[in-house]
Amino acid sequence: MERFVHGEESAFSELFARHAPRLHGALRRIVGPAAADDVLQSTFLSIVRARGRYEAGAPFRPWLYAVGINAARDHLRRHRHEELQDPADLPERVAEPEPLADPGLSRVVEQALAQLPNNQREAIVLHRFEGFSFREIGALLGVSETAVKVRAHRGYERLRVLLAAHREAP
Amino acid sequence: MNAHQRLLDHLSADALDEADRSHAAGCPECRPLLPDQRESTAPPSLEAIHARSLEALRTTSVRPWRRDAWLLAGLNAVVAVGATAVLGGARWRASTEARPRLALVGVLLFGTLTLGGMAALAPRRRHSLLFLVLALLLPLGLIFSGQGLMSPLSAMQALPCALNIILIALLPLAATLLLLRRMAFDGRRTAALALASGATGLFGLHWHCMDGTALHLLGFHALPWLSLAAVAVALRRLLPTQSHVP
Repeated sequence: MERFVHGEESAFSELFARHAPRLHGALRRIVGPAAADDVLQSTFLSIVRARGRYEAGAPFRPWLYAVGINAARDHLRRHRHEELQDPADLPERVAEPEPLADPGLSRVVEQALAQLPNNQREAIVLHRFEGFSFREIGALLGVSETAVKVRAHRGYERLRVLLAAHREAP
Repeated sequence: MNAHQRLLDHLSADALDEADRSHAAGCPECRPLLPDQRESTAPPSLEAIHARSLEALRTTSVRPWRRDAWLLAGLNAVVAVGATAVLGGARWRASTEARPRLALVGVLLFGTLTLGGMAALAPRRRHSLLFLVLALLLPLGLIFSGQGLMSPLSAMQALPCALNIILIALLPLAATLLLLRRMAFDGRRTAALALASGATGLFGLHWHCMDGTALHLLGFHALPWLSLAAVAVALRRLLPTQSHVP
């Protein structure tokens, strides 16, 4: 990381090769497959342009994921804003949750995750799929460990309900 | 000999033929073994992102956050001292007894507008939280400094105090918002940094304003200062973010 901060391209390429595919997978689950590329690009351009804000000696992976989560939140906020710019675009009633139609298990889980509130989805993706502890997630999201546990607990509860509904569907 | 074994043998003998290449093209295990195929195993989108990031790395130089923090502290100090020179030190001259209190709170204000900005800009969020808590105690210091200086002004006479605080802080706040665009939106950090920059106005008025009543100091000094921070948070939320680093 120190070499990358000083502009060494091979060091950046090494970091990219090691972390980008996995971060891409996490962002896919948070913002959806269509936006994951854009958010990943924002993440890496951010760390390149603002590498002067990296604290020497700090672990790189939680920092990278914190940047990724910030980029994902920014994307979701802008996307929601764009969607609601024209009042004529507003739906007359709230849509029913999408049925979990795809038979592939990972696809089913991704569809269920997409129906969770953003903060619960972040907590579950970082904890279950990326292997961060609740304490690490709290540090990278800037909230307390307890708050992360509450979000994850609620998310898992909701996920269980959604997956049970899928199993019971004909 | 199966196709995998054949490819491995030919690879070690540097004798790959078309049959090996066509097998590798369709075999996920063998494809990465071919040097010219290795690059294409990453999704195309990742390759493009990697290339764009490298291009950005070549064209941008590293900008340590401490340098930005020092620049902002310097700007705040220049504006605060300049405002004091322009407004004059009527309050300082008015009472010899009140000078120790005025000097103490003046030092606190100067610390807020210089070191506060550095604490708020630090990548660790706990520094901005600590500064925010300390800064919110500053109105108590203003009241403390006002004791013994009682020249109550009417609301109309007091209004220029609020306006001066806002006008003096405009340039530091604009610089603060520009800096904040280079990092992810964080309401706490934005508020802390805006309070530090807004303290330039408080500092200018601190040596000048003759009304030492608690009501005036809270309503026409502290309240505009806090309002500036609230406006800065709202404005920062609207501004596009250049970088998502914390």
